[in-house]
Amino acid sequence: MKLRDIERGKGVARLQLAAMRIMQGGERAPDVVRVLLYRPDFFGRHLNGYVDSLLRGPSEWTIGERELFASYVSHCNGCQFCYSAHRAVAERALGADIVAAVFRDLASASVSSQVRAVLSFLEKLTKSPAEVTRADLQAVLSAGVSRKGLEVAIHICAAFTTINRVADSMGFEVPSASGLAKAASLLLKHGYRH
Amino acid sequence: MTGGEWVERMKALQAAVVQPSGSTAASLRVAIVEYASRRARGLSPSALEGKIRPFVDDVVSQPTAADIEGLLETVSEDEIFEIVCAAAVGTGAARSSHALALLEEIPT
Repeated sequence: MKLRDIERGKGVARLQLAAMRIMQGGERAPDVVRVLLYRPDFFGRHLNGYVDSLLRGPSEWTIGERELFASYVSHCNGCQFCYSAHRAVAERALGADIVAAVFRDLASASVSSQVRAVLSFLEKLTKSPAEVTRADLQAVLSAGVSRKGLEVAIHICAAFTTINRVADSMGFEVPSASGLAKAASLLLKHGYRH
Repeated sequence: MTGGEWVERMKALQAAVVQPSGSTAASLRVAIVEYASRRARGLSPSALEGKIRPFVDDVVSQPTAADIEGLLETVSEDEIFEIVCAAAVGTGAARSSHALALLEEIPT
């Protein structure tokens, strides 16, 4: 069930949600926007800054690859909302066929060996963090991923495991296909700081 | 952005959910972050108030929106929001702290 205060918005957030509704032609703002605007100093502002720096900051990974990492972590966490939202962005950036192939069978998907190594590692770090060993990290480095490249992937796992838990606890609804496409286009253009 | 700055951003997120002001006691949120983090790392969990523990367990493992319903009878919406955020941050931070500590051990 949804929390009433988050649904309605509180203080400035209520006005922001109303303004967004007008700008979006009467369309309801997605649940994630409502949660991030709700008491932003407690959670949303900090998470947003963290996510924006990870997915849009300078990196050896393309934006599409980092969106794919975010979607993959969310998929491993069973979070339908974040998986769908970030998959839509990754599809726009990398191509729908490549992304579909990754989720169908990572081993045969046509992605670089570095991306494949990171995705395999992220699956283990997401599902069974306690079982991750130095050898798992070494395997990613041996595939040609830099320490910095591995660090960003680790942080993407941390940030998305966090928002995945919030999304599923708060019952985030997965938008329609057209809603996902619209959001993906906005996120590619503007990032997460808006 | 350097790796150190990402660590700082995660620390800022953790600090925000355990800030002194809130509907729940900051000490409770500190306990929730610690509990969730230890559970996520497979360590024996630290102590946590009985009423809250099953809910936090759900948030750490596989939360659903239905979990909130039972808690709403005794806990306010703001309190639930704070508990969910603290448990989620503890769960997420456990991933990065564990993996980054292992990465540190690998010589450059």
